[in-house]
Amino acid sequence: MIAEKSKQGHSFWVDYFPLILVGVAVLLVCFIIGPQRYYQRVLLLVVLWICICSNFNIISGYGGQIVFGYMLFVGAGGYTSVLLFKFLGVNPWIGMFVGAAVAAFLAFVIGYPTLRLHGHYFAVATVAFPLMAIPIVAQLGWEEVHIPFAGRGIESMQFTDVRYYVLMSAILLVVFLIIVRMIERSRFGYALQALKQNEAAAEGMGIHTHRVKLLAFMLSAFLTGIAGTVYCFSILFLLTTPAAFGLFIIVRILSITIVGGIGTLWGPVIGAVLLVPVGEVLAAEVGDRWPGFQDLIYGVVLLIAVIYLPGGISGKVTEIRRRRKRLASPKVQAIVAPSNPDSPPKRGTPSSFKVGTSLAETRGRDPQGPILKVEGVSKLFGGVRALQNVTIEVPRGKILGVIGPNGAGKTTLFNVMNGYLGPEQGQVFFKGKDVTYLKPHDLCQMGIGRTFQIPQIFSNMTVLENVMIGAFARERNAPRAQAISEEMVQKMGLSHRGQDQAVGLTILETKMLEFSRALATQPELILVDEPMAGLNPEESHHIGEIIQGIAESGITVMVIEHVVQSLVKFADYLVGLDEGRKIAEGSPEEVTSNPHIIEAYLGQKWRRRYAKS
Amino acid sequence: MLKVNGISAGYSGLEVLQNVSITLEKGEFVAIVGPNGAGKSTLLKSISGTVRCTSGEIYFMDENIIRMDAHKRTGLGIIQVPEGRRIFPSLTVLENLELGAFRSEARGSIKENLEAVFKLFPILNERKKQMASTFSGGEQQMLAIGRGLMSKPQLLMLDEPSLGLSPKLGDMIFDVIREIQTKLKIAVLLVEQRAVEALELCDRGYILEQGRIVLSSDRASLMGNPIIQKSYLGVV
Repeated sequence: MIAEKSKQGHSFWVDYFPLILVGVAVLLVCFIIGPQRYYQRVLLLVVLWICICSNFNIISGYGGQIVFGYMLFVGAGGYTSVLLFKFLGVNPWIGMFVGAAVAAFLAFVIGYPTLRLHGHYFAVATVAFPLMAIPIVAQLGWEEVHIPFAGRGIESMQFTDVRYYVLMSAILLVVFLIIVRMIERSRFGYALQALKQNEAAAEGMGIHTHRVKLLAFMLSAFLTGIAGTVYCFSILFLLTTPAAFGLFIIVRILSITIVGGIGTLWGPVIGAVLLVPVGEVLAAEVGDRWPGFQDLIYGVVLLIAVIYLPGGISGKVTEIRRRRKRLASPKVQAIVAPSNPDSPPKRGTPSSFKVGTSLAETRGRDPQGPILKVEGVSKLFGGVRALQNVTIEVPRGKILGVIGPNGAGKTTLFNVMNGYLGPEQGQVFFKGKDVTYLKPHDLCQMGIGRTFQIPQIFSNMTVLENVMIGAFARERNAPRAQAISEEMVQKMGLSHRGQDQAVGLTILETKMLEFSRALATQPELILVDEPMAGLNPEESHHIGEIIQGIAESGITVMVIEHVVQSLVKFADYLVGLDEGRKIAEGSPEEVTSNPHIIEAYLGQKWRRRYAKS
Repeated sequence: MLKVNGISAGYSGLEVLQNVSITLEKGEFVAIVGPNGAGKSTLLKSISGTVRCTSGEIYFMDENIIRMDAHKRTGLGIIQVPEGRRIFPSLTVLENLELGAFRSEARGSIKENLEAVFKLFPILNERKKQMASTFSGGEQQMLAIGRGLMSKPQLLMLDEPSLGLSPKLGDMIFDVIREIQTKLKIAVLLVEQRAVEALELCDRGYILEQGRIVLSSDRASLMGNPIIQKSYLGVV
C-alpha cells in the first residue's frame, strides 16, 4: 500500500510562498508611500486588522465557534502590556507575551465551561465578558491610560517613524498567516473543520471536540493578545476601555472576515484590504461632522455581505472556480477514476479492506472470545426504558445483524456501545476491557467504527477530506492519512468523486462515503446503522456485498437493518430486540421464524413474501 | 385532476427532471418508482412548489399552477408529506396536528379532521399530549401523515413513507395509505423505494430513471414486466 504521489498534495512553495509575498507587498506599499504619516497609518491599520481577523478565523471561521466577545482578547493583550510598561517599567516586548498569556488564560477560563455548550450558546456567552471587563477596568481606575512615551525606539516599542511599526506588523502578519496555513493542513485543522460541520460525527471519528475547540480558542486569543499590544503601542497614545474593549472591534472583525470569506486564509486579507482604507478615508472626510460614520459603514457592509455574499469574496471565487472545473471537461474525472463514472460503482475485490498493520497486531494479542460484550445494560430516557438488561456478545470476525421494531432500542444500543450514551446499569467490554463510560472519540481510537442511520457527513468538505477526518483518528501524519483515505475511497468506488463536495453525492455515494470514512479509522469492529434505508433492492444488494467484504477482511460487523430479506443473506447471526429487551438470538432462520419477532416486527405479510426465498 | 406537462427542473444548473409528464385522476393512487437520484423527490417538490420548474406546465383542477407559490398550492389542497418525517419535535402531537390545519379552508373543520386522523392512527390520540420528539420513527411517520391529512388535501403526496420503518410498520403504513385513498377519497401520489409494496398498492405507476419517465402503466402490467421484476422487485 504505497501512496502514489498525492493528487491534491500541497507543495511547500505553493502553500507558503504567497504568504511571504503578502509581507513583501506590505513593505513595497510602505516604501511607495514614503514618509507620509497618514497613509502609513492606514497601511498599518490594514495589516493589524488582517492579523486580528486571521486569528479570529482560527476559532470562529475554521472551528465555527463564533466569539462575539472577541474584543476581550485585543483589550486584554493591550492593557496588560501597557499597564506593565507604565507602572512597572516592563519592556513591551516581554509585556506583549505576558499580555498574550493573559488573553489565552482568559480564553481557557471562558472556554472551558462554555465550549461544552452547543449551537449559539457559546457565541452568546462570550459577549458577556468584554461587557464585564469595561466596568471592572474602570473601577480599577484605568478607564483612560496614557501611554508614556519613553522614546527608546525598538527597546520600548516606540518609534517616531510609523514605518518601523509597519515593518514590525508585516513580520507579525506573515507569521500569523503561516500559523493559519499550518493549521489548515494539519490534523488539528481538519478536526476543527469537522466539528464545525457536525460535532456528533466528529466525536465518532475520534476527535475530542471539547479539547480541540479549547485549544483553538486559546491559540486564537494568544495570537490576538500579541496583536493587541502592537495595536495599542502603534495606534493609540491614550488607551481607553472603549478603544480596547469596544463593540466596534467585533463589528469590524465580522465585516472584514465575512466580506472576505470566513474560514478561509485569504478572507481576512481581502476583507481588510478592501474595507479598512475606505473606512479610514471616509472617517477622515466626514468624521468631524458625523462622528461614528465609520461604524455605520462597517455595519451596512456587514449586512449586505451577510445577505448577498454569505461565503464572502473568496467563497465566491472558489465557487466560480469549482463550477468552471466541472464544466471544463469530463477528462478531469477520467484521470482520477479509470472506471466509467456512469456505471454503478463496482468496487475492486471486497476482500482486501485491510488497512495498515494495526489490525493484525491487535488481533494477535487477544485472539479468543467475543470482540465486544454488552452485559446487563439498561438505559432510561425519562420514563421510557430504551434498553432493559440487555446482554449481547459480538463474535469476532462475524456479521451480527440487529433487528427489531422502531423504538426497540437498536440505535440506543449502538449509542451505548460507542459511547454517545452512558447506560444506567451494566457494562460494555471491548476486547476484554471495560469501556462502559468512555467517550466516542476514545472508542473510535480503540477501534470501534460507526456509520449512522441518517448519514452524518461533513457536507461542505470534499469526499477525500471527509475520509481524511476518519484516517486522522489513528494516523497523525497528514500525507499518510491522505494515502489511507485515497485507498479507501478507491475501494468503495468513489475515486471519481474524491474532489467533489460531499453535499452533492447521491444517497448510495453518501453511504459509500460513510463506509470509507469509518474504515479509514482502521476499526476492528464497525457498527453500521441502517445502511440500506432509502436504497432500492439493487443498491441494497451492493451494500450487502460491501459488508461481506468488510467482514472477510477480518473486521467484525454489527449491523442494524430493516431490510431483513437482504440482511438474512449475509448475516451470520441475528439478535432481535423489542421494547428494549433481547427477545431472540441465533441464526437468521431461527430468528426470522421466531413467533415473537414475527408478531412484533416482521408481520405475516413479510413471512408470506420472503420466508422461502 | 393533476396534469404535469413536460416539466424540467433542477438545482443550480444541474437538470434533475427532463420533460417529465404525469397525470393523476381524482381519487387515484399513483406510485412513482425509480433508483436514487432519478428525481423522484424533485418531481414531488416541483408539484408542491418548493422547487421551481424551468419549463413545462402543471395543471391542478384545470388551473396552471406552475408559477404559483408553494403556500398557495397548499391552499388548493396539494399536500406533501416530506421524506424523513419533518415534524416539529418540540411541539406536542396535538400541536403538530393543529399546525397541519393552518390553511384557512381547513381551519373550520379541525375537529372532524382530528377525529378522522385519530381513527386512522389511534396511537396519536392516546399520546396526543406527548412531545413529538419522544416518538419512535414509526410513530413520527404516522404523525407526519396525520398532519398532512389535517389540511383536508385533495392530493396527498408521500415521499418514502416507509423509510427507516420496520417491515411490519411499513406494511401498516401502506395499509393506512390505501385506506386514506379508498375511504377518505383522497388522491395519492407515492414515491417509494420499497417498489414491491408500492406497485402492489397503486392503481398505476410510473418508472422514473435519470430524470425521465421511462415507463408508465397500470399495476398488473408493471408487476408482470420482466425488467421491472429484475431491477425493482428483486425477483432473480
